[in-house]
Amino acid sequence: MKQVPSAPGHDVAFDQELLAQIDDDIAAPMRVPPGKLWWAAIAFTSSLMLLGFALMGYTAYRGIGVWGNNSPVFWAFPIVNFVFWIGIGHAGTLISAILFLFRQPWRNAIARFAEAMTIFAVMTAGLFPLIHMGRPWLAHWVFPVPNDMSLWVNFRSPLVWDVFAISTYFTVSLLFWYVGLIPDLAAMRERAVTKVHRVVYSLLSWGWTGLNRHWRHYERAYLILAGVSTPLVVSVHTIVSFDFATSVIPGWHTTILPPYFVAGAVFSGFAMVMTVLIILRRLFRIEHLITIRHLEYMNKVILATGLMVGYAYLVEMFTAWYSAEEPERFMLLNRLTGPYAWAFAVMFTCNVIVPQVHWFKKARTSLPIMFVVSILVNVGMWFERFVIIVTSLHRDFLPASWGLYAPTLVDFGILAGSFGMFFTLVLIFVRALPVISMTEVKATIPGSQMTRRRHSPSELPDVEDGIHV
Amino acid sequence: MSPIEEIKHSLAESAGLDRRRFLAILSASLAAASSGCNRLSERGEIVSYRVQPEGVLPGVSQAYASSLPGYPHAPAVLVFTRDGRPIKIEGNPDHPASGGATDAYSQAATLDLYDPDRLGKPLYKGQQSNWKDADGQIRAALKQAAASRERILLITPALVSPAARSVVQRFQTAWGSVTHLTLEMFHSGEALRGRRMVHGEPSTSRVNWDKARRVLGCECDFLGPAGRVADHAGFAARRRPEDGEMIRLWVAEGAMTSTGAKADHRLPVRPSAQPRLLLWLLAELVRDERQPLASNADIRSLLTQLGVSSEEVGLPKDVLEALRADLVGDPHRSCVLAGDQLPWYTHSLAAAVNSGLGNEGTALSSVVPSPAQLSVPAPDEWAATVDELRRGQFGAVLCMMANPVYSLSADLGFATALENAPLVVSSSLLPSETTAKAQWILPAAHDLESWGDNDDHPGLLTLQQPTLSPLFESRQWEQMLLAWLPENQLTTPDYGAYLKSRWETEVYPVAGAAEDFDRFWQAALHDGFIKTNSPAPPVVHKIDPTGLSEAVGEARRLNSPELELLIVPGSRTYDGRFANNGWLQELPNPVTTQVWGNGAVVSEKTAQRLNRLEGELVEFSVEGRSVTIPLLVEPGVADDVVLVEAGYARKTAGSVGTGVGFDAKPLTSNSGGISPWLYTGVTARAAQGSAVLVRVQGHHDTKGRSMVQEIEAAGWLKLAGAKTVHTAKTSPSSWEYKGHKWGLAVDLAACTGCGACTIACVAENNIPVVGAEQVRRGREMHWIRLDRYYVGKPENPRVVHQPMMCQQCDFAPCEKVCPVAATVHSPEGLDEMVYNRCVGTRYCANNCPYKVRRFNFLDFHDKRSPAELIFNPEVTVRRRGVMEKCTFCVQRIAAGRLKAKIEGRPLRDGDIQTACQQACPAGAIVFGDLNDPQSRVHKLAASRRGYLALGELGVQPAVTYLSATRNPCPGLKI
Amino acid sequence: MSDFRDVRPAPSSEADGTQEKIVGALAVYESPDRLADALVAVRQSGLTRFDTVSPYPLHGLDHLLGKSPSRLGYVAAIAGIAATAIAKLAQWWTSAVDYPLNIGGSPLFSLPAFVPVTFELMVLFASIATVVGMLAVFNGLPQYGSALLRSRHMKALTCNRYGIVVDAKDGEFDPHATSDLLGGTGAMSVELLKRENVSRFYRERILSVPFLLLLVGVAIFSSTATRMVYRYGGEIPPFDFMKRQPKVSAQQVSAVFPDGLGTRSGVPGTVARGSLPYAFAGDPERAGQELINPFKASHEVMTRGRAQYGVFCQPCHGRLADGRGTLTTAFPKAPTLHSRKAREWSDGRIYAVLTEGQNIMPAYVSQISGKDRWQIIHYLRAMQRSQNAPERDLQ
Repeated sequence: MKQVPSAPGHDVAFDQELLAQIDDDIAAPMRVPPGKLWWAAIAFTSSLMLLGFALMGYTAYRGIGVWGNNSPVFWAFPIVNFVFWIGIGHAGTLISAILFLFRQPWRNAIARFAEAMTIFAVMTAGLFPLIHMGRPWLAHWVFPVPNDMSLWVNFRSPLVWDVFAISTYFTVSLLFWYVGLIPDLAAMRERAVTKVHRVVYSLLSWGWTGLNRHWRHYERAYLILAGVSTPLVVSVHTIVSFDFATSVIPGWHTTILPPYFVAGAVFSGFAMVMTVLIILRRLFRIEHLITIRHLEYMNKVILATGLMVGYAYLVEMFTAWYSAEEPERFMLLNRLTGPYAWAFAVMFTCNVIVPQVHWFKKARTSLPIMFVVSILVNVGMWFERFVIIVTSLHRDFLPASWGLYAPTLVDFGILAGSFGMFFTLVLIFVRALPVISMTEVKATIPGSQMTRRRHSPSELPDVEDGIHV
Repeated sequence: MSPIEEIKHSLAESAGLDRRRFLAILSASLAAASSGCNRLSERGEIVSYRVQPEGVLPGVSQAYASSLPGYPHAPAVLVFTRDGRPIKIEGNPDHPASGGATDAYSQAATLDLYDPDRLGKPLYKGQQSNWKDADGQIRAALKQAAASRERILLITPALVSPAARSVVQRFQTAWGSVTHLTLEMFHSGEALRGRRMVHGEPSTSRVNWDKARRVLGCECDFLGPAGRVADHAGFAARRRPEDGEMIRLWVAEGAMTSTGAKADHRLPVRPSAQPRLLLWLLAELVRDERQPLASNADIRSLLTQLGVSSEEVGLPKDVLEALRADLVGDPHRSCVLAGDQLPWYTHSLAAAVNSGLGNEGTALSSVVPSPAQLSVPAPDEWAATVDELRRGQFGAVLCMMANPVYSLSADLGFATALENAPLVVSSSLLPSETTAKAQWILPAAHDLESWGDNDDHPGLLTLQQPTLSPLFESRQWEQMLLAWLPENQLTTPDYGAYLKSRWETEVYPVAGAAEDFDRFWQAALHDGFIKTNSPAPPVVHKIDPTGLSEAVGEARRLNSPELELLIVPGSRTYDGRFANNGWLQELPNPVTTQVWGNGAVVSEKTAQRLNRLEGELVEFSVEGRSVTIPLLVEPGVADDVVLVEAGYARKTAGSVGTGVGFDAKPLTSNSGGISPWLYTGVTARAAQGSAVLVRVQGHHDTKGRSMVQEIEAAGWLKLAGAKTVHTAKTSPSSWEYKGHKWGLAVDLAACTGCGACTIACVAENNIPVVGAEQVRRGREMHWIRLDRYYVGKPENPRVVHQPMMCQQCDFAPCEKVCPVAATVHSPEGLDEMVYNRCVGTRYCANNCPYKVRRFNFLDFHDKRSPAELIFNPEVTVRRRGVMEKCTFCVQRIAAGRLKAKIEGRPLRDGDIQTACQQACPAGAIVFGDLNDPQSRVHKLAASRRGYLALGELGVQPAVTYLSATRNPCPGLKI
Repeated sequence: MSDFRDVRPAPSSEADGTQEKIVGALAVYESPDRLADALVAVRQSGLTRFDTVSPYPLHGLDHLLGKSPSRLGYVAAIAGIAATAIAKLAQWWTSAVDYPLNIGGSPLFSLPAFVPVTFELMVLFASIATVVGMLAVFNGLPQYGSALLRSRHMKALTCNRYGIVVDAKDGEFDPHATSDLLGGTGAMSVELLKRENVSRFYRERILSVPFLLLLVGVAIFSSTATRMVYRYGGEIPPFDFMKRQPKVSAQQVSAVFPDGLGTRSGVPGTVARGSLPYAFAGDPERAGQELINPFKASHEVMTRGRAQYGVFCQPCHGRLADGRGTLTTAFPKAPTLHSRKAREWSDGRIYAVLTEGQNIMPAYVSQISGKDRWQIIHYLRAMQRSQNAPERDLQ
């Protein structure tokens, strides 16, 4: 980052060009045509995405039987993916809302991108409950809409809670993200190179001009959204965990799931943000905006949440043992030694052992290490969901009804498709919208605010509100 | 025919216009009107009866008493038809051999009837032909054969029908030199021979379950799927400690069978060691002078020199002692049963032991074998006949409903010999190995389309009446024979008429009926059977020493090096005749829980000795004959014993059964080994490769969990007053069920795991067949499954069968989690599944602790004609993507309620029977109203043996299980 | 000061007939501090309708402008509370009032289970209210027509310049004076903001015929499509709600049988349970002699008989069996059953009539069960006796 020649008291001193510089840097990807690398990337991801969609269509046509799901493992890959992607989303809201409330300025550099990821992740996740249905064309029945059966939904079902939680989460994240974007969109409108850009940005920016009145309400709105998003993000993964926690199945029926899921979600979310940012800042040469310092902070969060997750694993084992319930104990034993013990091993290694390297500043600040760690954490978190869902289901109460689960190629194809969809959206995003909030960055660099406090002239007529020019 | 045409039609032929015809036309025209103005959804015509048959109401089921001679033990059944189409088979409650129950085979009869693979038209050398040509040409060929002094070979199954036997006789007399051989892969020939040796005359014996106290079964699977319904019922009746003293069952067997599963003491004994066990027992018997046998000096001396010592038997001394004491303790009410697969001398010894015990009339009662049993030819007869056939002495070979090419031992060379016959005719239901070799393939009528009678049950003459006029251009084989008589002797071509006239001349006069023949005949058809004066019982108390000594000699001579291989009837395919029946193929084996195939069942130690794992191929050979079969490792099997179920590896059986499983037949020889089904000195060699054996159950031990509970008769008294585990009610639901509250009680003490309930449920509730691959993936659709658990040490475990169906929990975990309220509770306590509301999230199935919910992962139903006729019109056919499960046969509940209403009376206990309950031979399942303090289910739910499976979860199941019972010798641990 | 001059309104601007009118003036400053100083000056000048423009929020301006913080919070609070109430009410009404179902034995109003949805709705409503309130209500957006947007300084103002904009509606506003005033506050430049008649935008874009036609087209298409989907979509498997059933129900056609009738009649000569063929077919007299009523007259028998009589006999023979039935207009009149003949007939003889019918009266064998026929006869006897009672009954 350029050194800012700031001289308090001297009012023209600070480098106005730096602000322009920031805007240029951030706007660059939207103004210069994409390079070969980008095209190659999006070609790859979008073809993955199309493959995924094709397989989803195939599933809808043939039936769920084309997957590995069976009795007793009625839920498998798709739900694993669903929980995984919802989890990814949580980092965004956490960074943008919670860190905002805690006044963590370092968040500004990554908030925008993290929020975008939230939205894309939730979009990806949202697909799975839909295609997972035996009769997806009746999906609208899970919403309490008046219908010819004059029948409503069962509000006792955690799946209905999911419907509300996920849709709310998506809407609110979108609003939050969009509100943050409006001033930047206005800026982009002014910097638009093509007519299309100009029209689109103008429409999206609502004719934002940056009047003080605008800013006043804008900042309050942002604060409120941050305020409501914080409990929301906690509630969402809590409710997702209720899918399991409220059931009777050993390994599901446990009260630790909600906090454990939330921690895990943040954990995986940060890891994913990490993975993508490391690549991005390099590609778009914005290392001076997203600095090692930012990444180090995130590594600390990863380490912390990793420890929470690890703690949850151990507590789960303890309670299983302590409950003296034979099925519970067997579930624990089965996780550790059963046919899917390897999944547990992968999960434990990636989520608990690997992040420990971040105790060392060297690791926290070394790009290659943190990159590898972030990827491993995501692998681990995917397997955590696999362990929770498949390992618990495949051996529950009656030994006679136990079974094994093996995914099919379709399962893998759809998983790959979900990654394709997510990254395609990311790639389009980085080309279409500012990945870093110009406004916030500019507003917080030293010297960008008034340096002297002035007395407002008293006994003067009030300034009227709502000027219209 | 469209309604419009129908009106014209009926108008044309209606002379006068009586009111019924008028109404018929009215309804038809209404139908025309309604189908004229149709939305797509309303498309589809309504065609009513033009002349409604008396007593027939559209959509209301009717029962016909009949019997199925083509099925094991020729069960007497009620065939329930809807709109004149057979839909469901039930036992004939009035018939002593049935008591209303059935086995799994007869439950699956409707699927055989509507099998899309059935032969539809006469085929000549693969070309479609017609009956006229068939009759003409075949008669001509027969004439030609007769003219040129060539003989005619007629092969049929063992004929239980007097009428059929008379037809064969007429045929024989008409054409002169006709050799008639009956062919049964499994028969009681050895047993008859053995008993003839010692008693002088053949006989069979049945256990009097109400009198017997101690039973020793030697390799005798009388509780197996192929066992008699009456035995299941009789045995089960003596296993309930609250109904007085329990019977004690000893089982000495090499294989693990359903009978062994119910045994109080199961002794793993190799089949070849059975004679020695019996010989020892006999010797022990005569040691006591007071024994009737002991009075006979020769026998006494014979046994004192030749009796075996307990060491030679190879069982622990204390066990043998306990066994002896148990049997001798109450001789008249103890008995010994020897399995049909054992060699003849085993049966001689068993017979000797029984007469030594003097249990005739008490524990056992012997009867003269039925003509069908006696008609089984000796092996050398076959050898001679095939030899003549090879030398071209037969002008025509008629295989009627028999499949010799598959059933006969390979070394007989029947298939090749067949090529020397100028004319081979094969009449069959389905394509078979024999039809593949025949010029004339004639579609046979199914039992449900045929007339007949049978005298398989002593003292009874059971009738068989068709419930559907033949679906295809098929005839029953008796009718074919009648049609092939020389022109001058041709009588009525209609076998029904033949049967009736025969009854008029043969049966009616001796029946001593009061009313005229028509009434007599109609009454007989209505009841399904008549009582006849049963033949004089055979003399079985005296033992012929010479015969016995021969038997003893054989028994002592018998020793078996290496492995021994035992062939038993396929628990699902029997002798292969049910290979094409998907329902049966998909019904898990009661012991191994294997579906869609068989394997070489061996003990773990044997497998280790062969150094092969389950599923890996092993080549078994004896005297140069060899077969390659994958191993199926099972606890409880005696070491060095290989058990193979017959009836698999059909080369031509239709689209379902062809090539399923493995065949032990090539190992057998016509002359047989120790017996036609038992071969010793079998050598095994690890072969290359392996096969996928599909077991429904991946796990077999109870993990010490409490879903199955056992109590010992001795402990029963101690149990008095004490509540069994898990019956404690948790907090009462905020819903109380006024009126009815349906519930089920399942008695594990009675259940023999035969699987009749599952097939009954499949037939009643339109449950699809999914096929081996899908079962392997864990997607079978059965609403009621039989969980089989092993308890105790793997060498010789106890076995408990647990029928597991939807428990209709008051606090149903499945209902709470359904997002769209597709599964909800009915006011009568049923956990209802609303198929059309289901979006298929499968959350309910996850949350079901019993895993009894089934999901239509794919579209499983057979689309080929006439498979659609199999569906029960009362039950929705589910499509893919929808969850389903046991409904307690809600359609039967509705029907029962309606019937009571029409008859203007309240619903009585027993009015409604679920399909599984109705079929169960052991009466292990009881359905009823828990709110009615007088109902059986209410009483059973309160039983001291009663408990709730997984009751600790507090889901409040409506199904009460009654713990399994054992009655071991006090202090004897095995 | 150079650019200060060239922003003066060119005198030609009124002449060239464009409908632009001056709506305000904009002064651009190069740093927040300059802006703040200018702001104070402007306020002192007595102007009241003005506001600042900045690329990012400048803290402290509210103070200089004497503005109190936004009241957006109340909006959010109200929305949230409303949502909570609505959610709880809706869940209670749908599950406990409109369509009560016993689901797993749980109470109709399962409060704990209804909490998550309530919470989510609260958050949702609050957020939406906040955003809409902020943009539309408090900030009066969108303002696509704003003159500021057309200012050539707008780009700078969204990047690194700061401005004061004065509204022409201000009483004190005068293009020249205000420009001078602003110029005097150290502005980098001053611009008079002109705006064309806003309504033209709407007139030409929104109200234009093609656009309206487009709207209509979309409306027609979407409604037709919806209708089609509902009308026919639900008929195509697998979307047909399992209407198409492979099973052959009563009185349906079936392709299996050559005559296409799914309803078969039993095989001739077979006898179904409980339906022994009638023994005296065509010989009612013999039936009269040989058949005897298996039932003894009892209260149950009478009630049953009466009920069945009411269903099957009454329409023709009348409530009192006197032949005055309700169907007599449609069908030939049924005879009275109090005739000597009818009274002297044996039960068996009447049974024969019921079973086989006579003259115009059809056979009721397949409508009335044998038992019921006998019980009807008992009831009929009672009626006959009531009509012409023998002496001893009257004493």
